[in-house]
Amino acid sequence: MDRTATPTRRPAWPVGAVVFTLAVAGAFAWYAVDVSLKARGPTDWMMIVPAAAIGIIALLVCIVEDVRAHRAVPAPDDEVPAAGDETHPLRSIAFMALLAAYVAAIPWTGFDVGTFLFLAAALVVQGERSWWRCLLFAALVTVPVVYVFVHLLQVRLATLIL
Amino acid sequence: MIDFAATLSAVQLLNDPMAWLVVPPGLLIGLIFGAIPGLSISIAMAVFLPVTLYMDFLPAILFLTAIFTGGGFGGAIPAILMGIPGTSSAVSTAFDGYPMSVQGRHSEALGLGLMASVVGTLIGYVALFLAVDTVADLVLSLGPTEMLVVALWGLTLIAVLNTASVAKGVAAGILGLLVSTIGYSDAGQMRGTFGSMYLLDGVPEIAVLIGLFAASELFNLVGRDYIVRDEALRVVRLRAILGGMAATVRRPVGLLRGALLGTAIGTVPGVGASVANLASYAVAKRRAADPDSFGKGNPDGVVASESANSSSEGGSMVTLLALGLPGGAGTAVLLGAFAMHNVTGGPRFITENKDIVYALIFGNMIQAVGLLFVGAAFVFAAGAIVKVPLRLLSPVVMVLSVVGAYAITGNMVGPVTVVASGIVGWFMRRYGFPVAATVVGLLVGGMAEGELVRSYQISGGDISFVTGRPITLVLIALLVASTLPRLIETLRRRRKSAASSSPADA
Repeated sequence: MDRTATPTRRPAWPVGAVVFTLAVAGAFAWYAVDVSLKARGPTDWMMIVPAAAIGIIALLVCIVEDVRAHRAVPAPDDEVPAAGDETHPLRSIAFMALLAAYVAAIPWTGFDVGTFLFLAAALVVQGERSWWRCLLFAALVTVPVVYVFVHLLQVRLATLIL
Repeated sequence: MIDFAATLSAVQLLNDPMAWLVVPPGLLIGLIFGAIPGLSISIAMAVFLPVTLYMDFLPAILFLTAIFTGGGFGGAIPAILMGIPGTSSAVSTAFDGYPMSVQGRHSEALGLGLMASVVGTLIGYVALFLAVDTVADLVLSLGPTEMLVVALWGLTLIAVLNTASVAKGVAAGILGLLVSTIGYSDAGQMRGTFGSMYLLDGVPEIAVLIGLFAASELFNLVGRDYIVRDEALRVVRLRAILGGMAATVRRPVGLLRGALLGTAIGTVPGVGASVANLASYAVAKRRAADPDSFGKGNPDGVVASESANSSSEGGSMVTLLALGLPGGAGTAVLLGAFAMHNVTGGPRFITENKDIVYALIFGNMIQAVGLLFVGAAFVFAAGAIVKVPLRLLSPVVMVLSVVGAYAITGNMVGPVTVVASGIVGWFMRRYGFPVAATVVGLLVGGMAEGELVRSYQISGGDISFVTGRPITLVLIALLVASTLPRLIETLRRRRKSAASSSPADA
């Protein structure tokens, strides 16, 4: 741990939490307005509008709670997390992006090729550097999964090769 | 009223060896399908339904109910080992089962879940045996206002499940509730579909559940080596599994309460094991001496959840046999099996074929005992999952989840839903919103809106309609009596702890 590094400035309020909460509140508001404008009768909105209103109030309370909690807790020192206890937001986001790319590509790659590429890339994202291990692992999982779903369970998976 | 002549006849029917040969494979199939997130019990039953065409009626139904029974526990295995419920009936099993795994107590948790499932199934079928006629009459008297109160009671679970912030729990629950309304309304309005025909049937619940629980949790685990950090604890001990099973038996009150609650909830059509496990968990937490220990590896949480989701099978069989109505997807497949063998469930079926009904009940009780042995062997093998490095396990689980979601929906809506809800779930976890509350809102929201609309239509908007329905009034009173005191106490405790922890010069 480098104690001579300049400490990071902590923002005055929890930016991420507030942005996320406002986004969800905005989604609730949009949905309630959209449904009530297009409603054919009270049964279309009678649960949605009150629920959305309660949800928006709850989210605004969440923002207040988060800001208060953020200001009440002193900025932590730069701590080294326990071994094996690290959370890697950037790696998590990379994994999310990889999963999204896998699902988006399936209509073109099929489940077999798409799954093979996803599995290999997932190991790379998690730090595996041996290319043959990545490919071997990808093949060992893809073939049985596709076989079981297509031939045993009769699920019509779109495939390119298998 | 027990018919002793029919009981003897049922025992003779069960002397057929073919009736028993199909049970172990059925249990194993159910365990496997239940244990894989993305595959469901109803998929397993639907896939193997054609196999029963050439069986007699009794073995056919015993085979399918064995799958049902196995799957009911199978979902608990990934819930405990990875915090990912294999089925919607194991959602609350993960709340305490997974923390137990992280603490290295996975073998004990698996034993707890297995024994609770076995005993819960037995109690459910004993209740069915004793009360099938009476319960059938009671279920018929439930109308939309009664079902609405049941749905509202389900929504109050949201408040109990959340520990940190009531506001975040409510917001998360309402997110699930609003998502459940996407699609066609009862009046034919398209809501939240963005003009897409794929969303007309709504957002697929199982795909959302997989995304919120599995995907978001796996995103968080990226970079971690193993589920259980301590290498010495990363073993599966049969002794610990047996210890967990013994610990379940030492909790008779919680076991019986969960089983009876699950049986009662299982009799209500459309509610089922998905709500039974959550309701039982909430009640157990409310009545616990130390409710704050729930969610941190309290064995009582696992017992409450598993006993209820397993006993609800017996409850749902009441509705199926006595009324000919399926309570959920699994019993819908069973109804299909009935039709294949030219059998129609309903009051006449019970009165004219009581020996077959009793044979089914006894057969399922024996299946529950069979689950003890098949399940013990299965969890011993499945427990090896904790030895697999997460960098290998996570991508495999993600692939199974995506492919399984596609199998459920038959199109790309399933996989896209898994990814989208996984991303939302990750942000929710990061900012302290309970994903479990969203799942409750999603599972109960559809039912709540449907019953609200039907109640409005029948009453014409006149609220005094409720006063003429005594069962509704009783249910409302029970709802208030069960939730209000605890809510007041929780708010009082939070206010007290906030006052004692605030700085003096704030």
